[in-house]
Amino acid sequence: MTLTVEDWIAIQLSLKVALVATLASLPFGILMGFLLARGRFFGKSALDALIHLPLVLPPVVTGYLLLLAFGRKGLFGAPLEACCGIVFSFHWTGAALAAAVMGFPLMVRAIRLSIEAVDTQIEQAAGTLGASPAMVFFSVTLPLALPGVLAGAVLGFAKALGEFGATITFVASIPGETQTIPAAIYGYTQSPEGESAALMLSIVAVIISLGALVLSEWLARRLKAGR
Amino acid sequence: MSIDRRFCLAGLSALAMGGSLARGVAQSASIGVLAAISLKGVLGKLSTQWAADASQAPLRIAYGASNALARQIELGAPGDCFLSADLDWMAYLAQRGLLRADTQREFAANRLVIIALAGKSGMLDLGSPASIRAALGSERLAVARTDLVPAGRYAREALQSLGIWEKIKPSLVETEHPLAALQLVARGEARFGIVYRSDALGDARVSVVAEIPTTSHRPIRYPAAVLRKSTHAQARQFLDWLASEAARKTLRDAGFGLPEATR
Repeated sequence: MTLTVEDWIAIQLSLKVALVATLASLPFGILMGFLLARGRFFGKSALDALIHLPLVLPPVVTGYLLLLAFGRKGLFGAPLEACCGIVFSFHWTGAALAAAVMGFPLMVRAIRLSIEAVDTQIEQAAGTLGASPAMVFFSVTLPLALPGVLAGAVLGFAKALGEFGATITFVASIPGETQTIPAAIYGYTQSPEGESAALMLSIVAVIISLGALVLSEWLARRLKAGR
Repeated sequence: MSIDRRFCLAGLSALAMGGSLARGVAQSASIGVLAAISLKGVLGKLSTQWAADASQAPLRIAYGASNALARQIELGAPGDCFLSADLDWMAYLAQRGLLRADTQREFAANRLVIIALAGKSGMLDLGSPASIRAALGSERLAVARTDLVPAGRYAREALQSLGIWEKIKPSLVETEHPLAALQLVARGEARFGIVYRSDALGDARVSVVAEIPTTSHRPIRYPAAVLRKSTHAQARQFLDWLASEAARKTLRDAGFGLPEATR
């Protein structure tokens, strides 16, 4: 029972996809978390619902909608390919997009909660001392909310690693391109000879996920201790 | 309190009734058929035809790739008949003693074709491998998994004997079953696809751009058998009926071939 070359490729790809998905969506996650925590504007609950949609929709629906929007002939996919050569279909970037969309609600939830927990009086004090709203955000709000932001990023990363339904619907399962760990495991379960390979990769998935959780706990504790 | 209790009782008895009903319907009344997904369109029609005779139990059909179904049967999935898209997966179950060997027979045949989005492509010349490569460009060719799924295995054999397997392999996108490959072509995600002729005829969004020579791969034959664990008296009768003139006409109309012995 050893991992094959294809398995290692799938593991590498999974890490790359989840990392890119997390890093690329983090700025938006912080922005949305802040808007939902502090903003008062028309359509806020609609925005809230929209962000949370991938959490409650069947993943295959999310994948299908992504396909309609960002597929080769999709609403945005076709113009994106024509103007800037950005292709999502059957490409690892498509897997990253699907993973980012699926992990986004979890990320925003954690960030929003931690921003809500920041004492607004401290922010106001900074304001009275002459700090611009942007300065208040970057020097007061964001540092105080950092544990939540990190927790959100780790949750998003873990979700991105495990994403399967939306990814396989959107970009199929091409070895080295879009075949992440879950897709590879699913592929193995279709084959009678795939039993032990599926088990091995499942163990790898458990180890990586546990690692991510332990890391986030450790980070959160370090941050608390440092305060 | 008393209202609650009444509701509970009503709910429980409804559940019990529903349960026994479901059991009755599922296990004794209908024939459980596990069928290769390439049979999806035609088996729907055959099922209506079969059930038109009130003395015959209706079918309860689960579709999937033959390899996936074989695996489900091995793991104890309930059902009465298995209709496979190749002889290998049937043999796989036969070796494990999961079939009634004396009930196995072939009932249909098929061909492979290359498809493209309807109206978007001229005919391909399979005689010159370079032309396929050129027509494909940087785009993808959709095909069912070439290591497991019957349609994919036939396609790999064909590409190998046409001498273009190695060249075309990096451009493949391998799907769970041939209908998923067809979907990718119909949506414009993949330029070409290799599917069964019956799949292509059943979907107006795609058109056939090349017929793959039948000599380039093993003959595509659909075997059927009754599962060893089946208790349904009419399971075998249904398989016999698949060789009837009425059933064969429906198969032919849907683009399937017929097994040589009965042609």
